[in-house]
Amino acid sequence: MTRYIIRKFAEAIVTLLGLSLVVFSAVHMTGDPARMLLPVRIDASEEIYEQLKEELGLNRPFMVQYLDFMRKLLTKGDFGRSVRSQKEARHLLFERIPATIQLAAAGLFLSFIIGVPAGILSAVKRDTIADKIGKAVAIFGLAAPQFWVAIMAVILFGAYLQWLPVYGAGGVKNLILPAAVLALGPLAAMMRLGRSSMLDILDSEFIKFARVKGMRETIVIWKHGARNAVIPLMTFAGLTLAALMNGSIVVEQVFAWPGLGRMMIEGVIQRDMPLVQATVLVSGFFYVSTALIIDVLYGFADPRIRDTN
Amino acid sequence: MTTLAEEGARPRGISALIEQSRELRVPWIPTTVIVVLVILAVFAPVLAPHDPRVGVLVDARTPPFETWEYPLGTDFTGKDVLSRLIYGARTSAFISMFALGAGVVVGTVLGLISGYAGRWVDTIIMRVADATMGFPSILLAMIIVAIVGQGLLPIILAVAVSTWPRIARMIRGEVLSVKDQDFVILARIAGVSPSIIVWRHVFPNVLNTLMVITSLSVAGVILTEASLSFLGLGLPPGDPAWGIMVAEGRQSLVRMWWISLFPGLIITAVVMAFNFFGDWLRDTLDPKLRRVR
Repeated sequence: MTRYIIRKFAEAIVTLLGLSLVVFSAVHMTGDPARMLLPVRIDASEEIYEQLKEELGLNRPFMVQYLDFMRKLLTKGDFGRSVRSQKEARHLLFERIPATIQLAAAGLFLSFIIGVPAGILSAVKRDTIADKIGKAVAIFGLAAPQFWVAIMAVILFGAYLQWLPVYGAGGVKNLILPAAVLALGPLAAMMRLGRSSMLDILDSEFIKFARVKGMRETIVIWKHGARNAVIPLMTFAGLTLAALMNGSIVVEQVFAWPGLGRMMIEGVIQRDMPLVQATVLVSGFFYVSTALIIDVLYGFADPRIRDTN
Repeated sequence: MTTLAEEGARPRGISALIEQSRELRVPWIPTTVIVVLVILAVFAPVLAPHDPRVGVLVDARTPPFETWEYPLGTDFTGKDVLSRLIYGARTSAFISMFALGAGVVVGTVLGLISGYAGRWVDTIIMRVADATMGFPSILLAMIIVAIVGQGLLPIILAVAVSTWPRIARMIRGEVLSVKDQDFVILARIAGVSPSIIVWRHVFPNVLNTLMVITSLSVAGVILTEASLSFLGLGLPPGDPAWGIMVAEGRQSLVRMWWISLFPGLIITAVVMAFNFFGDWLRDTLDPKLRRVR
């Protein structure tokens, strides 16, 4: 087990280092920060330009710059400065991270709390109307693009019905729509997976035995069945995570939610590379560390995983 | 989806024939949707009643189902929604085809190499594939767009990057099961070079899997492309792409619901169609994949 954890940990670190190298070279390739910093109107002479380059340390070889960046990042948590606002990227990140975590957590919670029971019910009531409706919802949820659902939700609830706020963060009311839209995809997937795993369980010997013993159906299903049906959903958690992150970028954009995803898009569109770099690295860090935790938990739950390569 | 147990209990004789023909049944609705999509994409200039990029300002903001001139209405600059949808099919098909093509070629080659070479080559390729596959595709696309800039090529590249790992993984798995079979071992003993073994003997045996995984990838490719267009990372605004159209509806949300509704419905329908079609192809060509996923 210790070996398994160490291996997973090492893999996570290598992935993050690889990501940082890729992102740093990306930023390096996209443009010359010195040119961007020089005001356009002043006809900056080559001399001033060279001087600025020297000051920013841009004359040094690529690897030296990368190592310097990593050293600052790891020792001081320094991500550099936004080219546009000249604010430290670190502070901007701190403003945005809580909003994203709030949204993602709400989305995950919703999808789990609705998706799993719905999937199990769908399996128990197999081939009834309820099951068919459930299946239709799952098929739709997996196919409908999130950005479209988000826009339609804004139009319907924000513009026509005017039930809920659709712009920015604030109270719980502001959270409802974005979280619901974010939850739709993972919810559909969980319903589908929960259904098929519950069907397998219902077919197994111990459930038949419990029924033969005359146990009440509610207990058979919810205590013995559902508990076991949830286990395979754990494997799925990693995928859900990627879906949630993908989704939160889009959802934040539509609902003007002040999170990381929105910051990332702003960065890309305004070509504010230090910001892009910071947001990608932080998202990557969140993603890789959560995936690591899931891997380790799964190693505890299923010994076969940690033994095989 | 039938379970294995049900298949075992299948009746024999004439009823089996009927059963089989029914089982092979092509899913007509999804197939029709796909065919219509292809027709729209190919014949867009003939089919579209108006120019998708130029609007008639006098006719701006026409709601749908009111005039024959603009059956699905116009947007805020008087561009015909129907024509833009038709050209959008072309954009989507074009990008998806190239992105999928690139993803399939890269994924297949790397999967073949990874599976046949084994050892450290395999480890490296699969680690990269895992890291890429696990990573949110939009995040990846953002990195690429940040490097290359916005436009057609970056979006194709971005979608391809998010497509290849799954294909490589599948192909590798297939290669592993093929490469220890007698005909491959005998070819190796006979001194056939590895590249010829892989190309002539291994590759044909993974073709079925490749077709299945390719068809199952189409939906994801279309969705990723649309999401990127929606976020404004793909083609310039005003171009006819479904993702861009949905985004345009946002600028005038209150009164013009139709601008966003129709392209979204089309994306959903197309993605559903490819999902069903891919499932059908998998069940028909490669039944052993059915339970995995």
